[in-house]
Amino acid sequence: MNLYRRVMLCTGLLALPGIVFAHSLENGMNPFMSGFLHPILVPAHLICLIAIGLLLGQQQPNRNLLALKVYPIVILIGLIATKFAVTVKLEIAILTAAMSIGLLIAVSPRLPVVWCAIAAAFTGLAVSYDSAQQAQTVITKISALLGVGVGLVVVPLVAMEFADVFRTKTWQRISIRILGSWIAASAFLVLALLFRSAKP
Amino acid sequence: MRYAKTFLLTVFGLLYTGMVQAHMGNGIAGGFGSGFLHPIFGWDHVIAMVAVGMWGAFLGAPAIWVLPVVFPLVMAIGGALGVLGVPLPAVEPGIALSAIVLGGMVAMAARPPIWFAACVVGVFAIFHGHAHGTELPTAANPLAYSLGFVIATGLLHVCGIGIGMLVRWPAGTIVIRLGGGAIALAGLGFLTGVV
Repeated sequence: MNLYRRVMLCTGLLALPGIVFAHSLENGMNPFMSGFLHPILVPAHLICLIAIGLLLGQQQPNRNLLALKVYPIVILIGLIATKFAVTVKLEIAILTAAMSIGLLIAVSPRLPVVWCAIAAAFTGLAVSYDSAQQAQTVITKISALLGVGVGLVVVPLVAMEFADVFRTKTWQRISIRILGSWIAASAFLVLALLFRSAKP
Repeated sequence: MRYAKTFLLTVFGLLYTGMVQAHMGNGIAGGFGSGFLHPIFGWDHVIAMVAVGMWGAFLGAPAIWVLPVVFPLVMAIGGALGVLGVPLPAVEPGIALSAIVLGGMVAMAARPPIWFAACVVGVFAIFHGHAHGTELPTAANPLAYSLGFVIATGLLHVCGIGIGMLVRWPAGTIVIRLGGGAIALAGLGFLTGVV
């Protein structure tokens, strides 16, 4: 494994130890860290981000430079848009995206580059727009949103590298497809629950 | 070997960070824990899922990977039926029957066409999913719960596949077929209420 990939995997491992459930996000945690952990601690966001990362890794990152360029831009747009946030329930959209992307991972077709870019754009925009942070001061809010932005980039990046590294052997490719089916199945179940809750 | 080391290191890292046992299982952790344990605490679920993995390994490629990929998706359909309150007749007998049929398939070394095997597994996946799905609305965190039981089910398949890999040896084939027979008998016990 080359140095770049080792660094990416290590980054992912180093980022994970921060998940200390003993503390609330408001107490004893700086706003940047609070924002960084937000995508990780919201399950719907987490599986969607992992799904898009696995998809891009499965479809080969070198082929999908368009998606890698579009993704951070839409995250920035989504985070800025939270300032003008109108309450929109995006959970259904995020879960639908996770389910769809999970199915694509499970089926593993060779997707056109534009499709991957669209999936990345939709995911980035939906998750970032759904990550509005409440804060008392402007500096705190900006710090938190910066943390969210970094988290929204790190999580799928690690997943993408994981999928890219683990695709040389057959069992590795199968494992990625199984992960995709798990994501799709879980998202589908929660969508069914939301549908049931929405029924009069 | 290098990839194996990296993979093991990654798994170790993931396991190392997540296990804060000092707190009650509320919220996300509680939901995931409840979902993860749900298939594992049901022996009828466990033996049937292990049988799926064993049968997949017995059938060889592509069944060995098609079943673990397709099963969660079909199980989710059954789960959705449970969530929506759509009644499914005889869920528990269906789960017990799955152990009998799948264990019996392994015991008899049945090698039907993949489409047939997928249909058999798919039908029983709906029953298993329905049983898990009915618990979903009361879960602490539904998504974490569903991830938990989907992952637990997948890991049980992996256990079955691991056991099924014994087919590479003649004695291993006998062991697996005996194991399948034991699963079928246990399923019969669940169905009749003896177990």
